[in-house]
Amino acid sequence: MEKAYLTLHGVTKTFGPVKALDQVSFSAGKGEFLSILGPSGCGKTTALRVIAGLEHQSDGKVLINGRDVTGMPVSKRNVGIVFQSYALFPNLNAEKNIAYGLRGRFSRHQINKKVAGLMDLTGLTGMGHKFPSQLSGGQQQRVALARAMALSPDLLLLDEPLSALDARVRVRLRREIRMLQQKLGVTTIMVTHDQEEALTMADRVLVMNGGKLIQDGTPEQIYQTPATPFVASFIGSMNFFKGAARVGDYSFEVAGKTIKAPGSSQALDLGDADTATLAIRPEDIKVKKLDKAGENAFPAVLKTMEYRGHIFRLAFSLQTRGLPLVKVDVSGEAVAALGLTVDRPVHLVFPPDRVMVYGRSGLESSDWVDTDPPQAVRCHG
Amino acid sequence: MDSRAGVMDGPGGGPGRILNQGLDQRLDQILGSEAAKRVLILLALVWLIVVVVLPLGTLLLKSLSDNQGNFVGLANFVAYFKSPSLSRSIGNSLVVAFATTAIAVPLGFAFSWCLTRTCMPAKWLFKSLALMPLFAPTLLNGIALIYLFGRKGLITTGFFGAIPGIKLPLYGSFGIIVSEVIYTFPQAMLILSIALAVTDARLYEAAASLGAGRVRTFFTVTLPGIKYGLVSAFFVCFILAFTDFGAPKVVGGNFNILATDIYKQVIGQQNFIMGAVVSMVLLIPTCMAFIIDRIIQQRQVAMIAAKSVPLVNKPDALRDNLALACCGLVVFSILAFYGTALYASLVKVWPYKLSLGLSHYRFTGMGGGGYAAFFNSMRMGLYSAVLGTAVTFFTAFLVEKVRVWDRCRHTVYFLSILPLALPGLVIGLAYIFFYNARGWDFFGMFVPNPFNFLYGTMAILVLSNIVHFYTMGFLTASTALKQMDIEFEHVSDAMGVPFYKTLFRITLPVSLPAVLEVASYYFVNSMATVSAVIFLYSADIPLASVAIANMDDAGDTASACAMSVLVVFTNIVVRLLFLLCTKKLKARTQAWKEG
Repeated sequence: MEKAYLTLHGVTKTFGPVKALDQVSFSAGKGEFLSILGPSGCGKTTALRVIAGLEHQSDGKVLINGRDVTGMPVSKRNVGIVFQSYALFPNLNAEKNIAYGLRGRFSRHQINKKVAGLMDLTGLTGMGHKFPSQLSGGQQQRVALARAMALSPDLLLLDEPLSALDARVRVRLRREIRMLQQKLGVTTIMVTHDQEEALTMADRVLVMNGGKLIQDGTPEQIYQTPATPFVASFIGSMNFFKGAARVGDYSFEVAGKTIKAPGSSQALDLGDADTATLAIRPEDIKVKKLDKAGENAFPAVLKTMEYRGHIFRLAFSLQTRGLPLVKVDVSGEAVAALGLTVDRPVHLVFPPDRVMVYGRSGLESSDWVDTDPPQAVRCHG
Repeated sequence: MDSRAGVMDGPGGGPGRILNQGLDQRLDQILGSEAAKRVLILLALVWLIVVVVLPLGTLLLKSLSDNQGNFVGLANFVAYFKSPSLSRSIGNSLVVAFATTAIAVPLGFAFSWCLTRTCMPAKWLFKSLALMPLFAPTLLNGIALIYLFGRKGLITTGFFGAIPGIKLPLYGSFGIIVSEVIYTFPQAMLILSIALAVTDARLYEAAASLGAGRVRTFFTVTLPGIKYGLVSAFFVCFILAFTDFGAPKVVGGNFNILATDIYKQVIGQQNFIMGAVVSMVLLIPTCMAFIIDRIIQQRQVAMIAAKSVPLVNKPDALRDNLALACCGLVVFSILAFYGTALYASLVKVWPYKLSLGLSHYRFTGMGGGGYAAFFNSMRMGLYSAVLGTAVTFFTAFLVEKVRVWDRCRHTVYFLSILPLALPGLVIGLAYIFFYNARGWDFFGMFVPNPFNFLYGTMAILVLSNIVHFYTMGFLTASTALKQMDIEFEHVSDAMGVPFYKTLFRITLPVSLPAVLEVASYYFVNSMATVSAVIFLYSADIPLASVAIANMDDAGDTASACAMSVLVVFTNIVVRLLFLLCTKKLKARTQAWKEG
């Protein structure tokens, strides 16, 4: 990573007794695309507003391009913002919306040239004379983006930019925004509650919860090695086994069987704890016929099958009291090959390098999302 | 990559700048700064202090002082309550206000229910006609009653002997209550029809699916849905009836109420101190009603967050015809009421010479000022509309959109809402005390009154109207502003566009319908009001409404009636103009209004 372009140092923001941001620190390199991800009320929007200068932090520092902007109003920070509602001026057409910030700073000729360039860049050519209400949601989004980019901001801030759009348009615009951002090379911070959005668009993802920054990493790191059970459960689906007894440095006991997890780096943090929480993603579990057991294998019975198009989501019982059903994702082909039907006994194999281990410290109740989060949770935090 | 080059030369990129815009930008920087915003909010606060707080404070001080200006504590109030001829008015005023409210609110509810819950035909026509009383000076309500129920009235004489007459005790509580019901009915109807219109259709569908009948649905869905509207209608009617001066002045007779007492003390007996005392007595229940209403309305906020589905009524012949009959009766009564006034203003000599003519519209030889007064009122209405709208809108803008200095902003908000609780007579009297004062002694130092020059001018009349009708304008403007995305200001801020540019380019054009609404409200009410201006007009600036009161006093009822008809007529024309403008505006801005 290059030298940090945007830096937050221990930023804290309190609203009365509520800590919306609690000692948040991170930085972004020039041209980087960062996504702040988290559930409703996690502080992600507050973080964005503090960076923008729409709110002022109670403590800590914000630096843009090496310059301390603490206390500086939004008008002086040279940031472009796209709001969730787009906030397009209803009485101005697309062209005039985009030119809004340019008036008085450039000549008419220059403005026209810039606006035409931006319209071209965002694929709005020919739409200039339409009013926001005459544009589709996706087009409105582009106008908002073009307007935010018109003054060539040092930072582009996107607040849930796609949440108002329907699913199909959203997927297309994700790619377009990413391409545009790379083309212009503008450092971008996007706030979202949508994990897929964050993982597909950003160079780096910051996961927040309860005002705290929980994990900062590339999409792969966040998905493959979630730092806490919260991150593990918030992003993708996850099976958890709480209170697994520790029987060796890297081995634990679940349902009377031993699980080995040598690949997990978190195992080192355990100290002398007796128990730990184990976690494994549904797609990492292998389903084997009864006679093909081996290491980390559990006898299990298929309870429910859910067809999800490209895969089946299966739920198995480990036939031990107190253990939750184990979620497993397998392809339709595998289901057919194994001849899977409800109540059929099989073996589940947990590949040792895919088992994640979490110590006690990561288990505060506030830090935990116990269920499989639905894909499209609406969040306006 | 061409486009990128075009896009990317930043605002600091030297060659793009135009030299002569340097000054413009510096101006932007000054006016767009936080300090400028604070100064503006401070100015709004100072303005409200000068036109509301200081005059009211002076009034309060006067009520606690003797004629020489010495502080006497509550002595004046003790004297007031010791004199039964004065304190009896408190009970009278309360009786009038409660009786009016008890009639007007149910009537308003029934009418608005018919408008919103039936498939009755020509709803817009009924609604428009029912609003007639809003355009009339309340003096006219009294005058029309004289022509109906007076000694030689249409009903009393049975249409001049055609049928048996009915004698009713017009002068006194009966006449006042009837006038006030007519005056307050449209207000209740408007508030309740808005409340009824926003009810969620899904609640009705849910009730129906759960097997609730009409009665149960009414008590479990309809009434709870409009409870805040009902409370508001109740307090508005109460305050209006409790403080109105026009109708009691004409038909009050020997039935004294607080508003007429203030007038009699000040104009009749030149006892300004007792006028101040009665004003305070009038203010107390009014302010209490106002405060209770505000507290209750604040609870409402959470209830209207969700999006609701508009209700579509299904035809029901019996219900619709009954509704038509009820609304028809109400509207017929209102039309007959004002029709009688119009007829009386045209009749040569009531009830002896019933041929029609315009002789009463000449106003020659009459007191009051005639057409000069009428045109003064129009000028006053126009000034009040222009200046009042500008001031209320800008104050509302500062409160809603310029989010700096919260404590100061909240005070401005409170002082903008407060005038709703101030009766016109109280404003008028407070203005006499404050603006007519030569100056004040502060610990032996004489400070001349910098506002004294306003006294006796058109300016003070306009000022009193702006304050008298401030709250409605302010609330209309803030509602319109609240409907706009708060991010508009943030977007502009982020682009370094100063807030006043956004005000003129975005906020004002988008809220133009509300601006016109406020302006027409100011004009109509300034034309019709008598209470505040009757203390403030000077002999060389006669006013129409004051002329009506004076001509009626002098026994020239027909001319007073004619002048009232002129006022009503003007107001209706202005209102129609407003509707026309709004319609044109809507057509022109259709493109950015949908969605």
